[in-house]
Amino acid sequence: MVPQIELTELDAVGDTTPKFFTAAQFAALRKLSGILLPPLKGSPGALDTDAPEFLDFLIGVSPVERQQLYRNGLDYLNAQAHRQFGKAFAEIDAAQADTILKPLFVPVAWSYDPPKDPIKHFIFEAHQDIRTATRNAPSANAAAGGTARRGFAGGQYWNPIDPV
Amino acid sequence: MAKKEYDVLIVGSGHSGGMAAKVLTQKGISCLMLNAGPEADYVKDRANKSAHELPYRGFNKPGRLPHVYQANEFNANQWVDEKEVPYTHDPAKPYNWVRVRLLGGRSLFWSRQSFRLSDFEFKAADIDGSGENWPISHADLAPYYSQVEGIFRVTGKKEGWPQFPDGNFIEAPDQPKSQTIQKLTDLCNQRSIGVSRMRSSQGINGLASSINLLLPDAMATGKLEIVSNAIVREITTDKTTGLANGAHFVDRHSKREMHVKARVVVVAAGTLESTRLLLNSGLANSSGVMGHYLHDQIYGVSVVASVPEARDGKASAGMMGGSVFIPRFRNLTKADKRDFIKGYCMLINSGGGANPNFFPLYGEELQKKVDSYAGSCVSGSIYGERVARFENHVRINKTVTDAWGIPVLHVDVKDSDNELKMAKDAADTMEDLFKTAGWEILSKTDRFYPPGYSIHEVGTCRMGDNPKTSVLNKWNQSHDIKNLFVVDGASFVTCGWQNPTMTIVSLSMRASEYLAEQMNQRAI
Repeated sequence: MVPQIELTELDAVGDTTPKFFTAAQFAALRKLSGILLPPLKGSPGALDTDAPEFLDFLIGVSPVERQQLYRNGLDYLNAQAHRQFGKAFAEIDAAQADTILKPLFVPVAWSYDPPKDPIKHFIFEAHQDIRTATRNAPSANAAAGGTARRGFAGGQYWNPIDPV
Repeated sequence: MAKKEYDVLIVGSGHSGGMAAKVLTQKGISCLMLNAGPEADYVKDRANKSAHELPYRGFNKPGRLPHVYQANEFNANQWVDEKEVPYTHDPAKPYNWVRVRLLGGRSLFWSRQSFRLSDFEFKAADIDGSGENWPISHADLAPYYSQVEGIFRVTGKKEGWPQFPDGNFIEAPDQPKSQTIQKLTDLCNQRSIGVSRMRSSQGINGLASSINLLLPDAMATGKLEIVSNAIVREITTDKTTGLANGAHFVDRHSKREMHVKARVVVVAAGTLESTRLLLNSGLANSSGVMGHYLHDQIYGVSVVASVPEARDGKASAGMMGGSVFIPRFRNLTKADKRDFIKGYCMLINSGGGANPNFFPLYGEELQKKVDSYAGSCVSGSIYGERVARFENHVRINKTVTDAWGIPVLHVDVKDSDNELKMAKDAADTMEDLFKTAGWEILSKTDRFYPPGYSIHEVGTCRMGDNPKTSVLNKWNQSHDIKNLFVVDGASFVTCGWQNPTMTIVSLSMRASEYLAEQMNQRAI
C-alpha cells in the first residue's frame, strides 16, 4: 500500500503578500479593518487574522468594477483624513476616524440593493468582506476550536465533477 | 453498423424526464435517455470542508457564475459553467439562468416545496382577463398530482381552500404555536388571510430527486438505457413524413458527433434548454409562439421585525419560534380589487436574529446591537407570480456558440408595473401585520431579484387548444409533429406563485401515459 503523506496548509507556513493596492490604499484598508472588526467577545479581529492581506488578494483578482469601488473608497478615506486632520487615514485616532466613517454607514435592507452613493456602497461591501474574510480565516477557525462554528464557515463542498 | 432504433428518446434526466422514463418503461416501451452532463458520485464528489480550506476562503472565485446568486464556493461546481454554456441578454435586462447538467438535473437540489396549481391559475384568464386559460383544469391533473404526491411523500395540512388544493398528503399533527406565531395567525384571521403550513416532499433520506424516486424504477424494467455526457444538438426529422426520427448529439468530452434513431422524441431538458434545442432544430413552431411567454416568480421582497419583549435574551419559553405559510390571498374574489392582478404567498419565520446590515453601525456597537436582537426577530418573504407576456421571450443568438459549437439563447425579459405593484403590496402587508403586532420594523424592501432567479422558469412552449397560439396541445404533444413531446416546464401557460415541480412531474406523468396509449394503439 502506498502511504498517504500528511501535508501542512499553506496559511500555516506563509503570509499573504499584498500587491494590488498602493501602499497608501493598503494602509487605509488595514486601519478600516481594525476599526470595523476589532477583537470581540474573545474572537479574533480583522487584524488578528490576515483579513486585509486576503482582501488585497481577492480584490486584485476581482472584476474591474469591484476593484474601482475599493480603490475609490480607500482614496476617499485618505483624502478626507488629509483634508480634516492633515494626515493619512491610517494615522488618525479613533475619534477622528469615527468622524469620517459614521456618516458613511446607512442601513441596508437587502444586500442586492446596496447604497447608490459609491463611497457608502464601498463601505457596505468592505464591511461585509472584512467580516467574512475574518470569520473564514484559518486563524479564526483555530481560535474557535477548529470546529468552524461561527457563521458560514463550513459545509459540504462539491469537488469538480468530471471536468471536460 | 446501424444501431437499433429506440421506441422513445428522452432528452434530459431531471424530474420530467425521469417521470417519462418511469411511465413509458413500465408500460413495456424501450427508452434511451441522453443527459448532457456527468453522473455525480455522492461519495467521491463531496467532502465536508471548512471555508478556510477553500482557495477563495468561501468567497467563491471572483467573476465565476455572475448570474447564479445561489452559488457559493462550496457548491460552485454543481452549476453549469457560464463560460462553457453562455447565454446573452441586454445588460439593461438582466436574466439569471440557473442550470445543472448532472444526471438528475436540478431535481438534485430543489427546495422540495410541493404545491398544486389551482383553477385560479389553470383558468386565470376567466378570473383576471389576462393571457389564456390552460387547456386543462385542476380536475384533469388531480389524479396525477395524487400519484406524484404519493411517490414524493408530500407532507402537508389539508385546508379545503380553492386557491390551495389539498392532495394525497402525509398529514403531520399541528405543533403548538409560539406566542408570536399565534399573534400573527390571529391578525391574519382578522384580515381574512388564511394561514397554513408548508407542504414539502420528504422523498427518501431528504432527497426527492429523479435519481432516487423515478429512474431506479425505470431501470428495474430493463427497458431504459441512460447515456451521460451526451449533448443533444438537433432533433432530426424524416424528410417524407416530417416526423421526428432521432437526434444528433455530441460527446461532451471528445466532441465526437453522433446520431441516434427513435420512433418518438420526448424533450425534458428543462424549460429553456428544451426550447433552445427545438429552436436550433427549426421544428414545431408553426404558431410562432415558441420562445415566448417566458416567466417565473418574484423573490426577494422581505420585511424583518424584532419583538421588543424577546430582546436581550429575555424571550420567555414559547414566545418565539415556528413558521407559517400563507398561500395566495389576493384577488381571490371579485370584491377584492387591487391595482395588480394575480397574487403571492408569504412565508414567515419567528425566532431568527438580525442581519448586521440592518444597522448603520460597526465594531463593538454593532456587536452589541446584534447580540441584543439575537433570537428576537420575525421575518417574512414572498413568492409572487410574474405575468406571462408575449414580449418576454428567448431567441437563438447565431453569433455566439457554446463549447460544443451549439448556438446559444438570447434572453429578452423585463418586469412590468404588475410585478412592482404586487411587490409593494406584499411589503406593505407584512409591515402592517408586524407593526400591528407591536413589533419594531428592522428592514423592509419591496425590491426583488432579476427574472430567472427563482429557478422556476416556465413557458416558451406553452400548451393550448389552438395551434395558432400555442406550441403544444393539452397532452404536451407538439401541434405540428405528433411524435414530439415536451414534458418539462416549457408547457406552462401561467406559473402561479407555487413551486412548479409537482405540476411539472404530474404533467409529465399524464403526457407519458397518453403517449404510451397512443403507441400501443399504433396511433403514434
